[in-house]
Amino acid sequence: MHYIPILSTLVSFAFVVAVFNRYRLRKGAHLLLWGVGLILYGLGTLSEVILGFTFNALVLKIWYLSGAMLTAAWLGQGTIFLLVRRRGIAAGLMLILAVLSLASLTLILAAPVTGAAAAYDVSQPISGQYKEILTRSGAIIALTIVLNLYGTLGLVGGALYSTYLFWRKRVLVERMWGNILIAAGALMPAMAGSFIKAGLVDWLYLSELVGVVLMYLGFIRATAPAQVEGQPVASAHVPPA
Amino acid sequence: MTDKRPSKRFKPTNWTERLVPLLLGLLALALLVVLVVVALAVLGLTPGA
Repeated sequence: MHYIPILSTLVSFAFVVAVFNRYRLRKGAHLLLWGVGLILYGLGTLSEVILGFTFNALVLKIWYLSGAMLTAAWLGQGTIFLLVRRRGIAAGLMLILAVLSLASLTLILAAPVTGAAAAYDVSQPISGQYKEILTRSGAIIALTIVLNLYGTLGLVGGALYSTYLFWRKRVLVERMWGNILIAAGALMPAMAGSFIKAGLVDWLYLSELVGVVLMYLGFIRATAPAQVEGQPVASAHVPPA
Repeated sequence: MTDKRPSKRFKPTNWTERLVPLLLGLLALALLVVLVVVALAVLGLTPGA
């Protein structure tokens, strides 16, 4: 079980480097926010790696804060910056997200850890044990739900909307496929989280790995030089993503 | 002006003509399922909430 979060962490941070490299070349707030979201993704999976060897209350809190609360929201915020062109809306939502993220950090740091931590089993995934160990207040649960709804709608909804536009106009086929992969990848951990909420099978670790691999492939595909009829691929012009 | 910019349009093949709308529909459905489960969890109607 331990090797899956290790792979997810490696892919996540490779993805972070790719996104920040593109940000360095092209700029754009959406790339910066995706980069931050992916750092949070990687922090979540890195916490799973550590928790696979030993229990640590702070690592558990970092896992919950980054993986369960903030990752989807920050990734989704990147897509909001990319798609919402009306002046001030994306920035306003960003401000709200920053405040909610700060509130989440404060609440999680203050959340008590129960005596169940003594019975923590490193051979079992943290996703199946955290509810008994970490005391989550109503505010933490509410924030988790709101941030995940916002992030999932933003990221997946945004990728599907972009796919639909490219498909309807029959343009930029690479970006169309890239967005399909990003939507599918982003849905993986969201669906696994929903399965856990529904008390069904826990496949969070696997979904995180498949999810980040699909999103990375989607990013590579979407940022590949456009293929233009009658032109060599390398000379085709691609506007910034 | 005769300076035409290269087109970025593509012509879908027979199988992409069917696959893309199918994928879009499936992904939208999956998104809907996620949102419904989250809503049920909010209402306390899921065992693992």
